[in-house]
Amino acid sequence: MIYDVVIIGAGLAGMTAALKAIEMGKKTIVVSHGASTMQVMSGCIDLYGDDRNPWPALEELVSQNPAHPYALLSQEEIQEALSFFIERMKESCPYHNQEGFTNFRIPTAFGEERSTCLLPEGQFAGQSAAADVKSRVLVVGLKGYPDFSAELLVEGMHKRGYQGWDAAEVDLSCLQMPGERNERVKRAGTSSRRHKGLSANSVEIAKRLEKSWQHFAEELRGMVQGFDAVAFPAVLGLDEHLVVKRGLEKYLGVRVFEVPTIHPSLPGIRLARSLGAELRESGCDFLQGFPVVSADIRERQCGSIIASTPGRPRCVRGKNFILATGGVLGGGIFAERKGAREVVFRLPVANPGADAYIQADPHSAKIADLTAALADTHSSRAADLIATRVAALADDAHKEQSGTPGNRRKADSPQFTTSGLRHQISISQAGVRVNQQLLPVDEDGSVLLENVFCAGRILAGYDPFIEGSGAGVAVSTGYKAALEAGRLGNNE
Amino acid sequence: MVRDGLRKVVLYMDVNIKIKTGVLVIGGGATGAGVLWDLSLRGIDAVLVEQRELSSGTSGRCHGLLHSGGRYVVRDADVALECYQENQILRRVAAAAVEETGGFFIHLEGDDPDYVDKWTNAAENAGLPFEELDLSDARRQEPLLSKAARRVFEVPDASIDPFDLVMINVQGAIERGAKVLTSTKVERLIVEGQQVRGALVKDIESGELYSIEAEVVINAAGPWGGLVAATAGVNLEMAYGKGTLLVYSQRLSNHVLNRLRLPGDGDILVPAKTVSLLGTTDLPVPSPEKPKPIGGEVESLLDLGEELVPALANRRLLRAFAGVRPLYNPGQGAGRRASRGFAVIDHEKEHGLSGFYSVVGGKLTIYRLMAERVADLTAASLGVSTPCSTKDVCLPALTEASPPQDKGGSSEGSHADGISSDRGNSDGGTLICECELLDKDAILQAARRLNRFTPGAFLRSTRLGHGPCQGTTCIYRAALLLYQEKLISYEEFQEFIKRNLTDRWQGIEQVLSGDQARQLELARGIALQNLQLRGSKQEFTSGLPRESHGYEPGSKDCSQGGSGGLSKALHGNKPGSGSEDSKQEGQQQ
Repeated sequence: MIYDVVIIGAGLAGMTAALKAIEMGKKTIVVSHGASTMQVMSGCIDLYGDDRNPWPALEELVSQNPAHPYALLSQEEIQEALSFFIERMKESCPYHNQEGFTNFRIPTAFGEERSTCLLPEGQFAGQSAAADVKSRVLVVGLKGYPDFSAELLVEGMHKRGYQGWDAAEVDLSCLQMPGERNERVKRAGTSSRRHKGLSANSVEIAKRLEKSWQHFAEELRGMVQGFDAVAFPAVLGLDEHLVVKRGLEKYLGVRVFEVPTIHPSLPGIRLARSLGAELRESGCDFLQGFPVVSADIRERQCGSIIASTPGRPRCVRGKNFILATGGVLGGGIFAERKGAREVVFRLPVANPGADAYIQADPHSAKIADLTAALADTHSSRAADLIATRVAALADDAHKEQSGTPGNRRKADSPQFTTSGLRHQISISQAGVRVNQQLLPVDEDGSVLLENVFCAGRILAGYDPFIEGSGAGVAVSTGYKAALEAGRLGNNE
Repeated sequence: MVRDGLRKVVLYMDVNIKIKTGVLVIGGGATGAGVLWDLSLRGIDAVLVEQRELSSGTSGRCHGLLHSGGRYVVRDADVALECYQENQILRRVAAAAVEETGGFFIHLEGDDPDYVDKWTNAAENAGLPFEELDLSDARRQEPLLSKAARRVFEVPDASIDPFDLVMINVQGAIERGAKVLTSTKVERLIVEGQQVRGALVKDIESGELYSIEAEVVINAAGPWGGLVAATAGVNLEMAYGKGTLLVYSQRLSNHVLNRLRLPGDGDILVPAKTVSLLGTTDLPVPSPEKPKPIGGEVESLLDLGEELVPALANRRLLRAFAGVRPLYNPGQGAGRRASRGFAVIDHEKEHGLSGFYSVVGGKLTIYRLMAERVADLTAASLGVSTPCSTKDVCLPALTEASPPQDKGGSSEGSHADGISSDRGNSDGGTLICECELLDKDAILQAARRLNRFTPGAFLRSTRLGHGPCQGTTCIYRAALLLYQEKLISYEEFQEFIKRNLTDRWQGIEQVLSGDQARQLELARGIALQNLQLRGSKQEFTSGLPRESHGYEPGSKDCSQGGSGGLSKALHGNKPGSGSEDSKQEGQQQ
């Protein structure tokens, strides 16, 4: 079988691309390795920066940095992508937006304020609570859950003038373990030991709440008198989050919202699961749990990719491919001692932010020389060759920079010292350069592969954590990659 | 000039004399702690001051290798023999901090074969025990050893935890009445006529200046010794050699692995608790402050380390760090050729200044001997005839601080044993650090045991953030815990996270590859995206927060002008501390 669109990577970019490809009537498969990085993130779709209206700042960013992924799209296209995302998620994982896609302001776990463009329903009431300095909000912490402090959040809000916020704590022992029967059957110590023993993790609490949120609501009922809203750490259910959240609101008679904390992050996990479910229902195929290790490339066209499944490698053939494997964190780019590599197609990795961390950017000619070999073997031999050259280049560059071991033996000189965090930022801008169609290009702008579109964190030239742009780039470039792939398919 | 000097003396004596003691020991590393323990055993009243935290200088930034002497035997048989003798003593008296791993000296193909003979001859002459092992036997014991190994000799090297070592020395001394003041920096020695009478010190946290009057002052400040002596107008010719080490996420060998050749870079791998340390380099540096690993060093260490243990290439590197060797070599300079021996300087003989001794040079393995020598001189000058007994009296095992509410009685064992047995109905078993398995109780115990609570001392004493995740999860959790226990304020909360994360990240920067690069991206994502750490975006873009303002020794780990609350919360004896907490009473005891 030949797919119209083969998507490599099941993160936010890949899944958005799959949704759009399916909508365009394309036969689509998503091939993925591990769980996506969505699972550790807050579930908010941040667009860019902290301004109330992010669009002027975005325009300035693009004009100053034409290599930024947002420069690949017009503002209309970005908004179209966001609208599409909201529309498709409205049943399983509803998101809210403001007129003109301006930013919401919501409270953080530190009681400060953050901006985001699209808010999942679970966090939505946070914005009205944060909008009114006179709001009365009860922040509920969970005893035995070490990742959230209601007092901290409340003190932060008080410091910013929100005097109506208050903290409370609820013991988790009112919750049932998944698998426990409804009428609290006593089973020799199992659950009670759990309650006072090791820490509870957010996913476990979420599952327990799904099972017995009514008990939880019972405990809370007396506490919420006089409050407009109740805030919780983001643990209100997993697959049945909406039931739990809406149930609590109905039962308590107040608005309920979550505040995201650290990983595992329920809002992100819910989004990932909802996207998967949505796609399955729409007829998208999945090949999950296996890394893509090589590709069949002839004359700058990819014909198939090889996933390393147990027993024998699986070949997935397709007309168009979308590379959405993520960056260093997602696993699409592997940082090595002497460089970094793109793991599927061995595309050259550019690193615009690099100063001390040397990235080799081998000329496209060398890649072109080797594509034939790649096609023959499907194997890593050619890739190794490229990797060796990358390493050699990196090595040379490194020697120039830091001195050879021979002249190393002298007092510290400033040229050796780098400032630590810029260093990391430099690696986090590493990625693949693309043209306006999201096709990978070399330094001169020549297209390296004509039917492979890149989307999301694999793209070079931005730092999602510093900019607050990760999810926005993922949704908009994923959407666009599907459009481009679909368009190419139609022309043939 | 003389008049000037006198005026100064008068001025300093105006400053509030807060403490009077027999001996003032300067420096909270292994040497200072050893001196304090030695003096306390002789019944001499002593106070130790440390500008930062215990083991925050050279002692805490080394391999933690208890040398058998093999490394130095060819060049300096005396130092080698001292090492061996001390090795044997410390195995006995400091058993709580020593892990008897044993060591291998390995001759690799291509290394100078003549050196092997030189080494065996020298070791025989010096009386160091060693035994040649059959290659297959050595491989069986150390499966990751290079195939290029040609000859292997077993020696009695051991792994020693310098943090625990300093801690037990200090703890033993405190039990015998000694005093320890951390975050207390010597501004200037007080000289009256030709006699050193004590020191003017500054409490780094409160900024308070006061003087400590002592009959004898012992300068055991390691690489800072020259600076201390200089305040009394004495010029010690110190040289500084920076050594960089790499930390791997697991134990890769059973023994200490030494390369059998002229001592050089990257030729020792030490298994230490849950990690392995590869080192070191040796670069002359102009100052003992802020030693930092640099790219070239790390590359060279990796190359050399892989020659000895090729498997290092694909093991997870946690971080790199550097320490500064204090070298005392009048007229010789630094480097591997510099003697690693030590000297005790009686400044009365050398510079006509009585009541003042410096102990300089040396190394961790012989810290006890260094302490003994200087304590001998001190005791003689004070007319105390009790001989040194640190060879025979065992150091106490590290005990847990026991706040009054601790119901379990005194539980013994190192701070590392995180999950404790039964915690009753409390949630004390809540795991804070999943890498080092530290629970809530262990964290709070460690916080209360500190003489001064600073984030750096806290992290060192718990090993929090020292595992593979390098603080991604646990620093946030620990901060929440400390906040809820009112050990840090709301303002200090974010500062605590930021300081500690950036500190951890700095160590990762030079080893940024593979899983650790991923880990760092995860940590950045969590801190910047999920938690939205305040001010972080600006600071993290423009470089290190720490370097954006002037660095001050002593301010390393405490927030600038912010830690008052920390120490207040923990120092029940300080005015202004809250009274609601029974924990504070526990701290006073």
